[in-house]
Amino acid sequence: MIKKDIIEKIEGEADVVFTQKNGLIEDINLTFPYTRGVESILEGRDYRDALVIAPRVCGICSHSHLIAAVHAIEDGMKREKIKFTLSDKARHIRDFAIACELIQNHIKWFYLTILPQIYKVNHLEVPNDLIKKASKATYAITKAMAIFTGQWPHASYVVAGGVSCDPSYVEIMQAKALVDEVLELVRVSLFDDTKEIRAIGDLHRALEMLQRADLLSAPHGKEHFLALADTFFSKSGEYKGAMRFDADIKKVKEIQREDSKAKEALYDNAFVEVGPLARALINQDAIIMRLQKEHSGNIWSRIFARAYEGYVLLLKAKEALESIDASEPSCVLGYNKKDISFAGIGIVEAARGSLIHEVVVKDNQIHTYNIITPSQWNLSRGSADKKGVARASVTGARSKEEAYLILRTFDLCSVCTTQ
Amino acid sequence: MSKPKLLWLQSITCNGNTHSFFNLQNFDALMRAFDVLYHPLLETPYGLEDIYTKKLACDVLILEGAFKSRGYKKFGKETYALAKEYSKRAKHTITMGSCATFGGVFKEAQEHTIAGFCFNKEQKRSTYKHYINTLISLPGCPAHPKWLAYVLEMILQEREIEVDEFYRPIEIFAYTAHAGCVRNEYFEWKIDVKNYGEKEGCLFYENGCRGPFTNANCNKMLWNDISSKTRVGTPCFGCTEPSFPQRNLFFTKTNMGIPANMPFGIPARAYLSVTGVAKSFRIKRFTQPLMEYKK
Amino acid sequence: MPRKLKKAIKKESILQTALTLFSVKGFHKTTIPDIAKRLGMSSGNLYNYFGSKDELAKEIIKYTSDYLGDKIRKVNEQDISSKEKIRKIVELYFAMTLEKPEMIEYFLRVYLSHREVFLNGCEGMICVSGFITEIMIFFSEGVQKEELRDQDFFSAFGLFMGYLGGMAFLHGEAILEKPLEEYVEDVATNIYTALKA
Repeated sequence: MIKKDIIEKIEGEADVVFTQKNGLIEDINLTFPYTRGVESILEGRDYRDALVIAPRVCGICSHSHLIAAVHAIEDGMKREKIKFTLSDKARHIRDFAIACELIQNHIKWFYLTILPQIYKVNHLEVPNDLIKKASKATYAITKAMAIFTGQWPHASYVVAGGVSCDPSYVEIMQAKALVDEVLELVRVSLFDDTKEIRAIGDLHRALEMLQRADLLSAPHGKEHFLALADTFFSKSGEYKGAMRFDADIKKVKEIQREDSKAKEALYDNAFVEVGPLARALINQDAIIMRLQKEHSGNIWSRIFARAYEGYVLLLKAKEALESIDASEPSCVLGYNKKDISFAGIGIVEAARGSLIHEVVVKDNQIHTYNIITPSQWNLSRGSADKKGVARASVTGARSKEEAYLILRTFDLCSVCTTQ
Repeated sequence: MSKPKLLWLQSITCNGNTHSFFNLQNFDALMRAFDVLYHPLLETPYGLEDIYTKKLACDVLILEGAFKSRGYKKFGKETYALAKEYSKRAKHTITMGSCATFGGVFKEAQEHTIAGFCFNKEQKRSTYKHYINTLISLPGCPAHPKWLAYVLEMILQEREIEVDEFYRPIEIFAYTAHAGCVRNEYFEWKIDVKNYGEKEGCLFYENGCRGPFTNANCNKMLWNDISSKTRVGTPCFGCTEPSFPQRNLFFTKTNMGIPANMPFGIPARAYLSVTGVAKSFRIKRFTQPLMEYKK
Repeated sequence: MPRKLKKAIKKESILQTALTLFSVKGFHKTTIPDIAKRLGMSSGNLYNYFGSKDELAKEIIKYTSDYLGDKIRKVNEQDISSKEKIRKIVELYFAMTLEKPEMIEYFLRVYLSHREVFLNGCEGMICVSGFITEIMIFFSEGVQKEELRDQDFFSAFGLFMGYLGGMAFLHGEAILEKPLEEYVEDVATNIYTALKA
């Protein structure tokens, strides 16, 4: 039986068509009817305008797009033999902001998206303090970030060669206090890290409810993972058959679809999963590897990995702050007064996975701009015998509710998928 | 006394305003003062299909995203038409963000077919006169969460909100983004920024800052209760004005070296005379870094 | 006559007289008593209006700058093209050179050549701001209307004013073969050709 539906509150919506037989989901297809054309908006503009326009792809991960844009520009400049190395100060500031945005993203996903769904699937009333919990933590972490970035969302504080801000230790201490505040909240509601880290509070309750609803019994993952960027908190790589390989950007391919404005993304002609779980496995994090084995790649490892990455990033955020030497320069490149041409690629690990920006600039003007987002990886459709990641994970789900829950563990982002 | 019914309806958007508003410190408490019919992040009693197919009663309509007269449908219905229907019946229509107010970033993709709800940049759309009785504009990319909080609190208190010619609340938009910038002294004495990433210097002369001619209170209210673009050395891009986004945003447009845009209400002669005087003096303090660390 | 107006007229006559004497006798050779005597007032009284010769010198440059600036402003306010404005500015500058030679002479031979007199109180261009501002307005509006080419202010300013000052200097030295007003056409054309978009 073929059914049409819409899945909503995924930073927008997606059209869904699924087939069900005796209640079991046989297949699912997500399409996105509309693209806003950010790539076309960028064409013809001065390349520095990308630092303002690219963040507007998405309201929840605008900073990831900003960093990907500046990486693409810096990569292009370096290929044109413009030699520079970011100061450690600029690097740490960018890393700190990256950590904050991911943390905010993960917290919102856990408390506003996945946890309410888990309660509902158990036919339980969603507690009315989840919004407040998410709000408290995300307010503080975005405030910490804004100290350096000016605001969140939609900051443009990075420039080629560094950052535009010039903080003193006053700002650094203010940020540290806010990060400590969020760590405290996480230690009350999600993780106990006094000895070996374990799930408590809302995170543990999520596991219990999933077990009770028997949502962990069947394996749902494809077990082929990818992370394309080397970052301060994760390494790039491919993870397949429980083995780690180096990642190669040349193996990335994008294909247009006829039925959807979202393009397919493949790696080495295969469909791969990106996101916090991928990053943790490629990093060979012992806790996540054990969890993946224990739960045979069901949705719990994906859920835990994302919440866990949020916790790890809080510690990394503190590290970045403590490493900043305020006496260093913020930007090592002077103003560019000449016309330049270059082509560059910027890769970033965004909340949901690897994000790529490719830019070609001719005489300071953007000639072409291409964006490949994390949701494109996970949401690629593929074919009947070679299914995309999310599609394969949902096949065999026992109800529409279970299928949608699995989809939300990938946390699709409609605006990113279509740009 | 029943709570006012609030509907958050999205059109062509990035969700930036949704996430900006979520940053409000008392978001939860404020939302509880309303019967929220639909919101992009929260659990709500109605799904999007209900919103599109049922004629729900709605008191406060919040619109996010730019509008296309035809060609942007959900559940078989044009979103612009739906927004107009709800707006006609609502007591208040709030366009949250530059896209919903003037067209914003997403208008750039299709200049002739995409615009704001009542305004197309600074021009009034043909349907303008039908909705202005209840309209409040909160442009910005995104709009500040406290701007919406102010409007909602005023609505709850049943106070009239005074607005300017673009229906922006004057208590917020009478200020310029320039008011309260920590680099003010450098503006007064015409000291340029020498490079990105320095505490010293004003971004107005060469670096594209539109603060002195942008209506907003960013440097008074502060973003995320602590910061602003210019405080971190980023120029103001003028996102609350109909002309946003401009081109070459990191550069000040000059005509023969003279800024093409003057601070609001300042005649060019006055500005140039004052500038001439200021530039004639070399103030030692401004040629030195604000603070120097011992190496 | 109200006292304030009397004082203002007296002040202006001092400036004009000083200007004339400077142009005839030279700046250094002209003294305050010389100026006072010419006006039929005591030196002491003159010092009531201007505390020193240097102060008088600075007031004169402001006075001449405002005078020229005022005339250029009237051209700026006309709804005509930049090309026509250039012609009118050249015309008025040459007319001023002929009708008020002491003013142009003062600018070229005193202001530009005796910088030490103007060190304190005339830093940068503040004393000539009346006229500089009008040139800035002319240039920026011309670029904004896309009639003039956008460039650095000083490269355009140097071309325009250096050229006019040079012609005035040559006229003052009696080197020009034709009457000054006969050079308006060529000079205006040259300036427009150099600056046009």
